[in-house]
Amino acid sequence: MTLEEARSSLEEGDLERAREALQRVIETDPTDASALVDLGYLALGAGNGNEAAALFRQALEREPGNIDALRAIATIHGRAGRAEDAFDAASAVAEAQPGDPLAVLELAELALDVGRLDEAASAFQRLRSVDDDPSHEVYAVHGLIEVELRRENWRRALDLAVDATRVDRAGRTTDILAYVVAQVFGEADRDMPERAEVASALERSRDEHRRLHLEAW
Amino acid sequence: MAQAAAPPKPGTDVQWTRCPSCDAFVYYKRLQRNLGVCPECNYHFRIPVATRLEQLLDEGSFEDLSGDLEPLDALGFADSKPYAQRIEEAQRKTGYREGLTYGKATVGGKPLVVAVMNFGFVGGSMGSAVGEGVTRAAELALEQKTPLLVVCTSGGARMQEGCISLMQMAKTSAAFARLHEQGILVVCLLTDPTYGGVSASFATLGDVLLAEPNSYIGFAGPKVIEQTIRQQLPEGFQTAEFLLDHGMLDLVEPRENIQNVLRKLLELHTLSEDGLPETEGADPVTDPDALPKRSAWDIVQLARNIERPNTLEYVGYVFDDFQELYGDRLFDEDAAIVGGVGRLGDLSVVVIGHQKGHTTSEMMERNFGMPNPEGYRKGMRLMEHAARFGMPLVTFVDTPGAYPGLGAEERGQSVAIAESIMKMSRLPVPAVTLVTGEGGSGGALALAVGDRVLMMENSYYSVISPEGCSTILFKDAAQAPRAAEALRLAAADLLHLGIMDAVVREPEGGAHTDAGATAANVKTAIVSTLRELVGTPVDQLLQNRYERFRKFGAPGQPTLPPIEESE
Repeated sequence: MTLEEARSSLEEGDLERAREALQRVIETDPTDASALVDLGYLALGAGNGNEAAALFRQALEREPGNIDALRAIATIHGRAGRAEDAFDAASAVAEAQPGDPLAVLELAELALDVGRLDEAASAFQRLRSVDDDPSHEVYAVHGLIEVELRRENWRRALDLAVDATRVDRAGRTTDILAYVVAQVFGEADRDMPERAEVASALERSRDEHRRLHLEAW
Repeated sequence: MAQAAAPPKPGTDVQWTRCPSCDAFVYYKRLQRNLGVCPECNYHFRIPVATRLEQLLDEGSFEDLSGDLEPLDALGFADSKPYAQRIEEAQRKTGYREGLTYGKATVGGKPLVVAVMNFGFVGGSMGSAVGEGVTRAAELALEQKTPLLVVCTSGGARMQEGCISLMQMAKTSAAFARLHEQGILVVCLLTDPTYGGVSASFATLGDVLLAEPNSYIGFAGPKVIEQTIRQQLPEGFQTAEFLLDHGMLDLVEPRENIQNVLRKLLELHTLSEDGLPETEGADPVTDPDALPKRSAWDIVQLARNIERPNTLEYVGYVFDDFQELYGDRLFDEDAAIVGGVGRLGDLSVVVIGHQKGHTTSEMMERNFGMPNPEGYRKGMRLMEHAARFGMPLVTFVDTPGAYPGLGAEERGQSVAIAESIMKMSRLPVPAVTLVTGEGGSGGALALAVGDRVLMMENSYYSVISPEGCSTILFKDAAQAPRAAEALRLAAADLLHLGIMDAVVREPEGGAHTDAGATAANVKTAIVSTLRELVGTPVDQLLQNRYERFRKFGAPGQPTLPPIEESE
């Protein structure tokens, strides 16, 4: 059984046959990183996270730069709440794929998750240049606002919120700006949202940005 | 918590991608094989232009004519980057000169002009080159008299081109208007997302609007609306399904079906006017005395029999092909009236009819065959479709009446019925009506201003229900059978009066006892009637129709002898 045959089963959606074929490929050649990765994704799809992680780690031992394995490892760590490990894996992905906006976005998000605000700011800044779709600029600025809100750097957050309003066609920034204005001047010209609402709006913005990149194949 | 994964990109080693909808990892080639639809949750990924063309068109048939479309930086615009630089970057990233590709192709061997928008190119925004490409495609379709397919996806007008971009809405809409005037089929396939200046111009001006499941389609984005009205929007707002429910789309079809639907639409819109099929049913009856004697009340009961065949069932039996189309394009999809384009032999016709059901839930879904104004407005939209493409109209009438409801009145029930009657009376194509069950007053007449009006042997047609008449004039609801006789609502009397031109035979126990045999008679009646009408010059057709209805109530018309009291 060859890797091509296994992949043909994967392509046809015959996952059981693909799994058997991949296992045989690995029995024949335990160093085949691609087969390990494919088997890892099948395990992940079947809900066997630990088995999947072990397979991806084996793949990375054989081929340290395997992007599919690195992404999967970051996902597994992320889903399991191991943000630091996820951040390390995402850093490796972003380093290997410096022009990929999604890789940079996910690194930035994980940096926020683990409280590495400088790294988050730097990643969101980088995102502004690697994502060449002008309608996406607002998402990166929203990321930078989140960083400044966490730093309680209200003046800088205000500058960014004004900046975001300029590039925001969909009115996502209105509440965020109201909140920041109130922090800076002590009052706003409209009902001020809670910090949690602002955080939630900014998180939705990041989700939307990620989705935009995921759905374009 | 963030999760890392990325879509595979051409030229990379990435083999697995994550579905943004269900979060499952999918083998990339499996996703490709599945037309870019997640095999786990049916999420429709955005697909590149080349893939879209491959999926929709006959292999190797596409001739690209968009090579000389060039972006125009008429304003010298710059935000954080000069517009010209953004365009260069988009060109580098996508490999396309602009956000629109158009050309000639075939689908199922039928020629068409196709234009496909590219969401990957500056968010599918419509600048001058996109508008120019869509317009050229429309002009080419007009010149060659071939249908036009436009695959739409866009965030809206391109801000960086200012009012030049805005003018593309007018330019493209005007080009589509010329296609409508010439009866050239325009199909718009709306994909995720279609917004702003594109949805408010050519994308929604097709004769048929198709959309992929879960595509987001609207004018203003949901965030803008939420911010404006300060309310959370309902689940599914602005999805294709939401729009279908609100009458704005004809069809929502999964990607795997779209080529077939397109092929069918092209076939239905390119048939010749001759070639009506041979039929085997009984000829319709024009002599009232040849009809079996049955009490009016018995006929009312048979007409209301819940097992009686309904419009969609007759369509299935009678027509060789049929594509149902939905929505009034104004407010709602009313399931009490159905319609679409069908084929009788080699003749394409538009079919419209009231629709009931056989079970309580079906009846509720169809509002017991009682249309709201939206149903009549859908009917009128389809009448216009018939006129535009020179297709005869066949209507099936089976309603207790138009829906007497608060909302129906608020949205202009009377206006809708009146306009439908007027529109049908001047429709420049042959129109044949068949009353298949209940012909309830104005709600029935709205679909019954045909050149020929036929009825089934056990159907009735009346200005009011026997129960209503009984209550109002006989002051007793129990007198409904007597009222039914007095109203002269059955086929024999209506033939005498000239309200009906012919009557379609039913099996002895009624149409429901042998739907197949009944439908054969229906087919014969419709085909033979169309044979008489097709080819009649439009002026003559309209004059004859005018006179057909002008005569009622005029002096010298037939009357019926008084009913003899049986007791």
